[in-house]
Amino acid sequence: MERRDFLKLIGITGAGAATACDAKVGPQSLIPYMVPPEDITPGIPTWYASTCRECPAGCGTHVKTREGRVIKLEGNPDSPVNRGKLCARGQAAHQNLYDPDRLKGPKRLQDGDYVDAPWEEAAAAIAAEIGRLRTQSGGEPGAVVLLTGLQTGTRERLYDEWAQALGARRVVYEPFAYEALLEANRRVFGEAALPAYDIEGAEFVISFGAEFLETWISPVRYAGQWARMHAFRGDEAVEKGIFVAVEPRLSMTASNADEWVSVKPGTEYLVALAMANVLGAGGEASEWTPQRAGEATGVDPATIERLARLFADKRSVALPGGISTSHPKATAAAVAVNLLNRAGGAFGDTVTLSAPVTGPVAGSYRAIVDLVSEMQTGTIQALLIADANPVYSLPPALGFAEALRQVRLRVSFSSVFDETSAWCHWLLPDHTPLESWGDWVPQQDVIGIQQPAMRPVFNTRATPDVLLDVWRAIGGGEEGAAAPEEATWYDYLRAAWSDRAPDERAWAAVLKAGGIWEAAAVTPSYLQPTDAATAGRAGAGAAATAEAGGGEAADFSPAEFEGPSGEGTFALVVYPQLALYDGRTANRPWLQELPDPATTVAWQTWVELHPETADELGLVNGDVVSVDSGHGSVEAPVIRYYGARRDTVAMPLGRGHDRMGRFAAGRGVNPIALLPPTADADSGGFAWQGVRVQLTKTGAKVEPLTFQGSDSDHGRDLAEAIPMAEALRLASGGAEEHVEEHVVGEDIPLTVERVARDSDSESPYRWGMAISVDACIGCNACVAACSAENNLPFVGPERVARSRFMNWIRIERYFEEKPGGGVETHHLPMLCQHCGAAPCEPVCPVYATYHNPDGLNVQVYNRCVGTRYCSNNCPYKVRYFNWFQYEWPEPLNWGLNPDVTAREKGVMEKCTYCVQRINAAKIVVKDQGPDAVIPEGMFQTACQQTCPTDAIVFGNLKDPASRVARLAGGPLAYSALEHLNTRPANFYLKHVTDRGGAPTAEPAAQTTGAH
Amino acid sequence: MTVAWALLAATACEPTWKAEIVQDTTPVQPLQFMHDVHVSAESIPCAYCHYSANVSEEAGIPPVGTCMGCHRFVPGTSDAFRTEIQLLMGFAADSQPIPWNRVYSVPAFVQFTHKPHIRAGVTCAQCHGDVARMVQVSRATPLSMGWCVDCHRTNGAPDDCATCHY
Repeated sequence: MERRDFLKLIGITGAGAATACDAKVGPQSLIPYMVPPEDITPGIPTWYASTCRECPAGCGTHVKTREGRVIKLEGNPDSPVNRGKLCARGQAAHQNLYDPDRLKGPKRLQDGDYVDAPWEEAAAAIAAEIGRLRTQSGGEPGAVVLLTGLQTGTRERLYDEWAQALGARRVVYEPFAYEALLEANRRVFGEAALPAYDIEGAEFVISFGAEFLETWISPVRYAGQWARMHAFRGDEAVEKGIFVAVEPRLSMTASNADEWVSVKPGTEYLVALAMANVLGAGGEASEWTPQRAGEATGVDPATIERLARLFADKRSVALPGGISTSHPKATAAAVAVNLLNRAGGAFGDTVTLSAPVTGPVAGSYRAIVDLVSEMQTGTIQALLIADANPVYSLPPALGFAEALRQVRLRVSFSSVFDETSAWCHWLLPDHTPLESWGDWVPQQDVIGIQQPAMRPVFNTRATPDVLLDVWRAIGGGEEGAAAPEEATWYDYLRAAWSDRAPDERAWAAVLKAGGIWEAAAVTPSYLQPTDAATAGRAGAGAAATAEAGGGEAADFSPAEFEGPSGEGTFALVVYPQLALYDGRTANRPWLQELPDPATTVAWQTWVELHPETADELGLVNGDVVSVDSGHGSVEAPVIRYYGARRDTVAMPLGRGHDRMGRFAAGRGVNPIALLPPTADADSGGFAWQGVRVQLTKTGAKVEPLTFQGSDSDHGRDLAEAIPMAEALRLASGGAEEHVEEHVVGEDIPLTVERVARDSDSESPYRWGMAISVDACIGCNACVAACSAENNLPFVGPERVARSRFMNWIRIERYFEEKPGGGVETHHLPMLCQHCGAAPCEPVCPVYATYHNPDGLNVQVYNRCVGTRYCSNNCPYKVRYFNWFQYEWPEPLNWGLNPDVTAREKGVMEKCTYCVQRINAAKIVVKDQGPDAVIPEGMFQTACQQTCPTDAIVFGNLKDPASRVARLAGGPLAYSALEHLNTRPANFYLKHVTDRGGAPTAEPAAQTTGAH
Repeated sequence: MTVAWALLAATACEPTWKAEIVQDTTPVQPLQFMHDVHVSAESIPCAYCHYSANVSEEAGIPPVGTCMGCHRFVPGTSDAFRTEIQLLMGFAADSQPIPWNRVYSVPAFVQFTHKPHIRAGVTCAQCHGDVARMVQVSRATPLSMGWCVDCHRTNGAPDDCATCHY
């Protein structure tokens, strides 16, 4: 059967259900298919390969649907971008599809109100208006502008062709566009492209403000690479790499570094320059001795020398250009890091341009600045805006919204009513990516395909289809091409793929695979050393004499921060928050409720202050301060965070929406309001950093919505750490030195063999986990995956304030002072331990929680009467009580997993080890006989499946050959709160520290910031 | 799994997603399909129409197309039959699915799956009664937990709570 026919059929059944509110059809109706689709069996999920479009990285996805509805996303294991993993944003993508506040159909502004307008009318009216405006302006090109977010592939081509044919201009605007990085690459390497960074193949990684584990370029890819470079699990005695982060704020990325070099904002690149100088880079770098750079940055010159030596001695890579270095000297900063890469022999080796990342390339702040001035002068007659929300993400001081009012025809294609749509005459909602056809080119040799996984939820239409209609209605002119023959966007896309997929069989193969992975078929080109690399590796200084690419010099004086100075003023660091990116995901409740990895705050915007600074100002968590930059001011509560420097305050981006929907509007503040419309002069990129702010205590106080009460584990050693040398010794078979000190009341040491006996002797299973604290980066992807798989409700800010959140798995983040100074951050995933001797079980008066034959600690919802004794007796605090009947506003409930009960008010719930997946696997495996046993890897838990760093390994502890049993029996394994003798089925693998990095430049600091 | 259907149907217009247990043991159907004629007189196997019971959670409710496979040529032998078959023809002509009323359902906190039961040799009639003798299908078994567990224990099937409740 044809796929499109199938979608029609799905639509019919979907429509049947959607209109099921009349008298005849009710909740107890059984609506069969009209014609059963050949590839669908009721009750069995159908998967579609597609591409995630929550950010420009373009990760491959597998979209799980049940009875025609998307219920879960997982990474496509074949995609070379993300290798089967997704981040939290990807895991919550279907909350965009089911956003209850989406625009439900096309609308037109009439007398101050939006009224419904049919699609045909919309296209005809816009075509007529554009035609008229073109005539009026004398056919002058540029009077009509198509403003879009970043696009690649066929959609990009269509937009360009459309603009060209209609004499329109296309402007691309992406808030995080990495212009400085591109410009620096042009200057140093001769090509304005984003290189492939081989983090995996490096032994030493140093990042200069690149948030590559969170948001920078392609975070899932880099997180996986980083883990393979850095994570030591004890299963092989091979020394792992070193990671150093140089940045003004302890971001989540920096919190995973072996060493955080804290620098004054706007000076981080002087460290890179001085390192390049130590390596003999010469040229401009020679002026920056470690001594001089040390004075400018506040970093110990000895540290700079040491890092330079490490860079030269090891296979290294330096990562430039994140948002925290996007200040007015952003290009100079990226040039400095490039010089270091060249001087240290990384360019051509770990930094190559053979398969450039095409993701976030293009898009320019400079273009939007020009556009604003043209709009102000009335040159722009019509503006069509797709996939961009400039009114929100541009600084108000630039005046985009005011300028927009000068444009006579304003059309929004946004699928939600956002800040930009609110200024538009026409609202023509596009499908969400899960309902759309398309393709995406994340890097030069990879093309991901996007296919609709279900019928559109609302009366939306693909923007390319609307544009094609407009094009056809206007027709080709003397100067413009006629509209393409293809009737629809799908036909256009299919025709564009005709050379790659000439026949239907090939097309089906592409759709099944999710794209074309040429990179996967051969050894990735970036792993093949080039001649330049060989030359570079010959001697540290040799490569520095190589010809520079573009040639222009860069001005390396430290970036100046403008604004108030003196007492009570601070440099402001704004950063993209991991869950909300540039604010586009703000109306997804799971993401609003996702705790920030650094501060554990959800639902609100906060101001990060170093605890000592906060003490000086007399501020505690929740004290509302006014932050004033002279360009604007916002009010937000203080969160004391050790990772803020004493001379800075930091604020996350993404909240503070006026519109967009019930979960986004009115939550938090938008720190973009504080920023001047400054650009980096060399690249034209927006300067996200570069302003100083004045803090004033307002006297108001709000509840800080933190998930974690304390930054310290108060000596309980929940996250154990071990030096690399010792870990290596143990992994090579060395004996453990210390004796079991914790075992109480039982002589048997807590081994994997002992824990494996905590299930029935007849059962072939004892499910368990090995969780690597060394690999966990705290990104919370597991939390979002668990929410989607297990129907976890969102409880809202008021209940988060009372710690009534329901995340079955949470990332605990502990700071610990290092013996040599500085602070170590531990990220510890905490979930039900499925204890062999579970304290929750004996206290349940109704036997609602018990130990099952496979060793699971089971919670039976229908038996639970809600005494909460179990939760009170749980030392890990991983049981969550339904204080309310949590709501799923229609159609968010469409995404519920039908294989998992949606819990009601008054019952306790907790991690089940995805028992629905265990049971599903059992049912399948028993086709091979009643005694068949689930083999290793037949299924994964949701958290394990998505973990970008493979920190979570789930499996059968009774199978000594399983990976989990080997890791749990390995030298790094320990149990959380082992002395309580609960015999947890989760084994943690110790954090491996002290890797040849030395103490940080930041002297020992207060570690308990929260109290 | 019946719950999935109940869930999806329930989400369509109820503010909550709870699937109530069907109270009416013999609900009136939109057209009078006669299981007795089809099963007993015509000897059509259950799985001919309930096509996914042996592979899936769901038994599968036949689409109108399955009915029309025969009824294109079978107009009915009596007036009463012809009336019902005319109704069927109407659904087919309008391309509308027949909105059947559910006879068997389990609460939302029960995860029932047909496949392992059929693999274990449980006959359809053990749970659904002697459909071959029913003019209108009526619920033949209590579907209570005790009834499920009795059978599980008698036949050595797992009686662990997490087999069905999660």
